[in-house]
Amino acid sequence: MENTRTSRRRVLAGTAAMAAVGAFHRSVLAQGRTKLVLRLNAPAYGEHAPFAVGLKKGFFAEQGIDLELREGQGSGNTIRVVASKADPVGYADVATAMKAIATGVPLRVVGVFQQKAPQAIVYFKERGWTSPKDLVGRSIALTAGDSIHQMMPAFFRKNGLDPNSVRLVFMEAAAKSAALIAGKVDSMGGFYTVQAAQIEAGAGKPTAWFGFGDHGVTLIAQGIVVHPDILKESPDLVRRFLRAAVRSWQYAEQNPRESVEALLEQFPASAFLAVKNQGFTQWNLHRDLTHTERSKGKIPGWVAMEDVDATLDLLSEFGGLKPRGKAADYVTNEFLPL
Amino acid sequence: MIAPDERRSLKPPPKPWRARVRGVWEPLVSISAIIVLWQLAISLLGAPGFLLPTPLGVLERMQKDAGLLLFHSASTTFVTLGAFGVSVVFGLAAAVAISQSRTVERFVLPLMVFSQVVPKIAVAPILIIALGFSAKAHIIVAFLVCFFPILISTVIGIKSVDAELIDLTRQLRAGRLQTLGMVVLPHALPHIFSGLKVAITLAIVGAIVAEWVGSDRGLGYLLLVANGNFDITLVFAVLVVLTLLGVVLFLLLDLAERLLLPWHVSRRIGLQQPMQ
Repeated sequence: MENTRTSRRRVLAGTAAMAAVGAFHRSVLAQGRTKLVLRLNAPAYGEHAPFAVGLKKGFFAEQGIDLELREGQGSGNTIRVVASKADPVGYADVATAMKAIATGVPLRVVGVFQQKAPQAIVYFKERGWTSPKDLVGRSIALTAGDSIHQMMPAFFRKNGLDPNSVRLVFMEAAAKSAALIAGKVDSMGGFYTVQAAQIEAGAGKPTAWFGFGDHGVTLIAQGIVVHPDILKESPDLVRRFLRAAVRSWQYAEQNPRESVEALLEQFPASAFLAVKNQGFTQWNLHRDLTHTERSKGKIPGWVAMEDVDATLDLLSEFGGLKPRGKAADYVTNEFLPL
Repeated sequence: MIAPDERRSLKPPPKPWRARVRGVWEPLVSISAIIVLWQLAISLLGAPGFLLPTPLGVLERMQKDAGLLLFHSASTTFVTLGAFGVSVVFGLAAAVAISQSRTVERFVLPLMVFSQVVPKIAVAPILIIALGFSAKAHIIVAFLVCFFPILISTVIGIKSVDAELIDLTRQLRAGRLQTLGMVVLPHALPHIFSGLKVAITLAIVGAIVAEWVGSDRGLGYLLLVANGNFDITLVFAVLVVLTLLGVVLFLLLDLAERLLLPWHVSRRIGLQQPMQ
């Protein structure tokens, strides 16, 4: 979920944190357990259900971790927060993380829990569109700088669309759904897992979408990001965290209702979960994005390096990522319980 | 009567070059000091490159992307000046209305104050969705951010005109409009200018806020894109350009003030400098 009205203030906060904190600090031990903050990529929504149920069922406590879930303000912001050591672990969009790493941000991806990107162009079903070509002469609401905006050149190229034939209207993340419902734009760029159902609930009409993954833009999506220093200083902590995270995801895949309920208990005020059953719809859809063909049958979090390469290729060709480097520079599976 | 040749000697003596340059080199020294400290912070404290680029890096980037920066600056400048213009017209008109009628003051002024208390960043999305995503909508958002200082300073300026002067004009049987145009507003100009100077900087802020909420061009839009790409060098380049824009507009206002109010106390002190 991209909510980019964020990073400006956070850049300043990050600088201040860096100056004050310095070395990575292993947090206070509470009852023999290590306190750990997981900074999410956005305000709580269905995709976060595994972490909530894992926390509730004690999977993290079993590993000696006193986990605290903190909502985020966009993957870009979470990445900056983790890179400046203000929070030790983050859950963020891996493509965005890769772009950051290429520009020199100190970060590593240690587990990819969503391997098919939920980005999509969402519109009302009544349009009767059948392919992205139907977007010619229409408008798309986008948020400047977010992951959908960044991948639009790839979407256009892979679908044979002339970028100039489509009207891009830029606005704040929260405004996109409102603009579509109000009929100010013909479509919007968002996560089909979240916005589609939200818009349906708000407008009372069914939605449809062109998923990036189905239309030539295959990116791996969300994963766990950490500062490289923690991998050197506390590798065991990272391993224990990932062990608990993997168990949480497996449990959530098997027990969706219970997991979403745990999420609702922990974040009763979240806007994304406000409408009844939204959380359940979101998690159900996100569940299907955990594996690609190449990682089917493996534990959640394990990603095939070929899939990482495919994302790197797209990012370097269309997303301005340079230098490309190797997949291993960005992502590693070695801290997962294999 | 002053003879023509005597009148010539009443002009102030021409400023020696040292005095003329003096007004320019101090700000340059301050700016250079900041740049040096910035570079030192990076070299000595090792501030991470992803949070703080080098001054040289920023300058190089400004040169490399000059076209891009100019294009987006033009858009933001257009919105800024548009909002400022609307604010001047509205601010002056509303201030005159408020100063002329107690009733208007009691009903309208509180509304103006309320409009300032509401954070524009909360209101902007509603406005932009309602008005569309055009420059016009941006101008309205920026106007809401910047009109208030003009309004308040004009009201105060009007109210601080010497009461005896008003009495005198009344005795000379000047009409309301004559009083306003020939006596009150000219005397209120110093106050009005202080409001204008604050407003021009707020107009830029307002333009940026509007662009953050919904725009496909402008320096605010460019900031979002640069941030999304983790392009911190471009972020700083945009900030430098924004600062320059603000300074230029502020100096233009200062120049206008100097031309329109050469007689005012604040300008008189400046004239005394060559004596030091």
